[in-house]
Amino acid sequence: MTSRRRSGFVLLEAVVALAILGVASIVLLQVRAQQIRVATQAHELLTAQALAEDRISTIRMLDYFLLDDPPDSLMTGVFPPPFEEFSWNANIALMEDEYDLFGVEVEVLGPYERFPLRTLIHRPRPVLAGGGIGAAGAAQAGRGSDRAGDQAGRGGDRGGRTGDQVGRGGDQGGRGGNQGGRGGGQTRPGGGVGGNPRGGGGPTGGGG
Amino acid sequence: MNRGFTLMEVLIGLTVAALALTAGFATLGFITDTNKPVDVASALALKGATTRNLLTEWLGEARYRVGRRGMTFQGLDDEVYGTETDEIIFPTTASTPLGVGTTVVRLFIDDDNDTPESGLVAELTELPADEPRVVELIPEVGSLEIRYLLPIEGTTGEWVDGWISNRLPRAIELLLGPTRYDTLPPLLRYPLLVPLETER
Repeated sequence: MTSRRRSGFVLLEAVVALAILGVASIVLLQVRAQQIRVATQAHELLTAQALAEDRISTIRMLDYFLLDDPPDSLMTGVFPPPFEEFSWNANIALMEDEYDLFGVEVEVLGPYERFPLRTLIHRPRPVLAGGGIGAAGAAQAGRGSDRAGDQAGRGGDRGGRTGDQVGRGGDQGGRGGNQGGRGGGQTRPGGGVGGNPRGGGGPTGGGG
Repeated sequence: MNRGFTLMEVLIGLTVAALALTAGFATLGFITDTNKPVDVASALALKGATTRNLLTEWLGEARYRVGRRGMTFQGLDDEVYGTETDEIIFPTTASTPLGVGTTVVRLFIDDDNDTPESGLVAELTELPADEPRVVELIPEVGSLEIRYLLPIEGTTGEWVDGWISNRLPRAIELLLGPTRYDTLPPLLRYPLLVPLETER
C-alpha cells in the first residue's frame, strides 16, 4: 500500500472489510424480513377487512327493532374455518341527536392485527297507523311470527300492533311490516318510503 | 512486521469466509422459502378481497328492471351432477368494465371447454342492448350457489334457491366452490352476503 509497507493486507484491514460486509448484509436481511412482515400483515388485514364487511352486511339486514336490541350472536363471535383465527366484536348504538340513525362499529381481531370498520345505517322507525286500520294491524300481529309476538310483549305500551305499510298492499314485505302500533293516529302517507316517522310526533300509546 | 499474510493465513481466511458465506446463503434461502408462501398467500388474499368487493359493488347496485322493456332481475337455480351451477342475471348501475352506464350482468359458471373462459364468468351487456362482453372473473371457481332472501312480514325472511318475482330480494348470498384442483382462494370460499334496497 504505502511506500513504507510491502504488499498484502494487515489484519486490521481485513477485520474492517469484514465488518463492513457484515453490517451491509445485516441491513439487507433486515429489509427482507421487514418485507415479509409487511406481506403477512397485508394478507391478514385484507382478510380481516373482508370479514368485517361481511359482519356489516349482516347487521345491515336488521330492521329497526333488531338494530335497537340486536341478538348476541351478532355482537361477538369467532369466524368459521379456515378463518378460526379471526374473531369479531360489534357495537350498535342509536346516534344521539339524530333520527333513526344507527352507528355500527365492527372490529375484527386477527392473530396479529385488528381491523375496525364503522358505518352508519339509517333505518326509519316503522310508523304507526292509528285507529282506522287498527283491526288490520291486529290481524297482522296475529299472524306475525314469534318475533312479532316477542316484540308485542316488549312493546308493552305500544298498543295494538298495526302494520305501517298496510296501504302498500304487502308489496313492501319484510322491512318493518310487522311492527308498528305505536298508536297515536299517525298514518304514513302512502308510499312515503323512508319518511321520518318521528316527524309526525303523535302521542304514544293511544292506539288501536 | 509489515509483510502481509502468508499463504497459510490466506488459505485459512478463505476457508472461514467460505464457511461463513455458506451459512449466510443457507439463511437467505430459508428466508426466500418463507417468503414464497407469504407472497402466495397475500396474492390469494388480494385476489379474494378484490373479487368480493367487485361482486358486492355490482350486486349492491342491482335494480329490478331498468327501462320499460329491459331485462329483469332473475335468479336461476341449476345443478349439474350434484354441482351447483346457479346463474343470476341483473341490471346494475354500478360501474363495470363497460363503463358507468346501466349494464346487465349475467354471472354463471363456464364449464364449456370450447370457450376460452372458465370458472366464474360475467357476461356484461351495456344498455341499450349492445354486443355482450364476457369477462373471466375467477377461473378457480367450480360451483356457484346463490340464495335469495325472500322478505316475509314478521320475520327476517326466508332463503330461497331461485328468484323470479316482480321485486328484488332483500339480500343475495353467493357461495363459491372450488374446482377439482381445489385452488380457490380461502376468502372466496366464505359466503358473500349482499343486502339490497328492496324499493328499487
